[in-house]
Amino acid sequence: MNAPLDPISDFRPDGYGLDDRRRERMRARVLDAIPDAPAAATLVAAPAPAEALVTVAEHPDPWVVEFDSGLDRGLDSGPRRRWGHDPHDSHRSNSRRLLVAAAVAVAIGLLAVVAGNSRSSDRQAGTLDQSSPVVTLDDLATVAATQPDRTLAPGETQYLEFTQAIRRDDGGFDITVDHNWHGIDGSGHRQTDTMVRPEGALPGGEIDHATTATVTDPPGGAWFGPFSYAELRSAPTDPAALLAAATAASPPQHSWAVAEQIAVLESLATTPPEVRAAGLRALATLGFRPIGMVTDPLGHTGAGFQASTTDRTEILAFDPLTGRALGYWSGPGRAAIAPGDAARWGAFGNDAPSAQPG
Amino acid sequence: MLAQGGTAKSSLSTKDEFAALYDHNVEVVYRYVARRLGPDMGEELTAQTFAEAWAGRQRFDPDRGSARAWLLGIATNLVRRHYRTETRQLRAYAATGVDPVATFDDVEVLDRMVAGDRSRDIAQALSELPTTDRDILYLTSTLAMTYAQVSQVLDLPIGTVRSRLSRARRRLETRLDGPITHGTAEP
Repeated sequence: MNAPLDPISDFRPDGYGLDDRRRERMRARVLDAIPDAPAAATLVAAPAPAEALVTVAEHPDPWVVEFDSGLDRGLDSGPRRRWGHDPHDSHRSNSRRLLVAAAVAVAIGLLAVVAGNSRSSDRQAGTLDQSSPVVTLDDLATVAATQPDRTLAPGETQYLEFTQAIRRDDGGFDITVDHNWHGIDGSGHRQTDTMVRPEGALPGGEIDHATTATVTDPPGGAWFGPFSYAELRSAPTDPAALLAAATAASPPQHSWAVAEQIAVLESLATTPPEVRAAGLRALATLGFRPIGMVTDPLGHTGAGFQASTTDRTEILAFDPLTGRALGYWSGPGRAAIAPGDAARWGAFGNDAPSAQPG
Repeated sequence: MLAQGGTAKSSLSTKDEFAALYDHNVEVVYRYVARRLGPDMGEELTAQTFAEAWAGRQRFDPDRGSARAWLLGIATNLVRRHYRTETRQLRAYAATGVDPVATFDDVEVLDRMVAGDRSRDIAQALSELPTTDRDILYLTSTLAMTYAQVSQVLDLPIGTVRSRLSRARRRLETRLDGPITHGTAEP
């Protein structure tokens, strides 16, 4: 018979005090990201989701997102917000660019989003208690509506970046990073980097890098979600009207196009705050339900929302402090993802408007 | 007192008020998470806990428990998402005697990194506990919480907390072939 012991204290000593360096780092990360202005007086609590909640961490193929909350640079006076992101992560150096609607249309493609909840068969171990605090789309909309507005000045371009990865037959990923710079009149440039992340390689271990030639776009293009810049700035602030406008601007042959276009709008730096709020509420009407905070294998974290059909699932992640879209995961239902499946993960990243590259 | 159950609903409307809540509770939340998943995940999940608290602050109901219990509830849910990781870490600890969450910049932890057989047995036993039982064990041991406080954190009846903790203790005693003096939770 052994001597009595405390299974926790004896097993792992309480040697994890919060040192000053870690304390200050966490404090800055949490509090510096909160606006100094008083919060909205009243927040409307959305009803608890009807279905059991699942976590992305439980997903057979955890999504990977590289997002750049630096999209806030120039928009806020405070420090950059980087949820779960290592500030020393070299991946961030790629994040100064921007996404166009066409790129996202391809990237998020094959997704069918319909109003509806996750099937009960989707439930799995690790579900969250329904009573647990979960950020809702309505919460995010309230936050988003209070964020600073940012417009694009003549001569400026907005950079948007979109990263996507598709599983290869050998278990690795084909990765493409679309860089887009477009101005008020729709003119701009595009460029795409491609690379391969071998199976088992960590981020940063990509090989076979290649870059496409720069494509120059003439004025007149609609590079801001489904809209031109002028249309974006005057987009409806009512969720239903915004959905109607996005539907009218989306290719009618794709049932997923509306959700996809709304997701793009949510990522853009120059989307008016009230439009962003309307887009978030519109996503709720399309069946996106909260699944709590989601964390990708790189440690990037956002408030997650999922919409599922029998054969497709999409998860979107948002910065809980701004309502900005961070990234997405799109895959074949909840089945294990096999090599060659059209499972994709991706990220939105964009920066404050800047001078157009030469 | 805000940290233990004050009127947080009326104290979370501004950044300064939320900062006060943060300062009162960050140490406790971090210690709880870091003890389970290590200092790096402790930092990550503690920050996430407060981010989620800020975003969902309108749902905090002081009538259902203290602000600290609410925060620890969020933290526990976040930890649960890493249940498999935690289990893998415990099994690795049991197999190797080296605590995978220990860091080399912590002398005290470093001194204990190479554990004896007893600690390895404990790690194995903990890895076999159901999620909620593990939650209860850590909350009562790491934070010396009472049944009532744990029931607030986990939103469980006090009787359930008591019976689950009792069950967890029995499991551990059986697995470890000896009595345990696991601290604390008194009604």
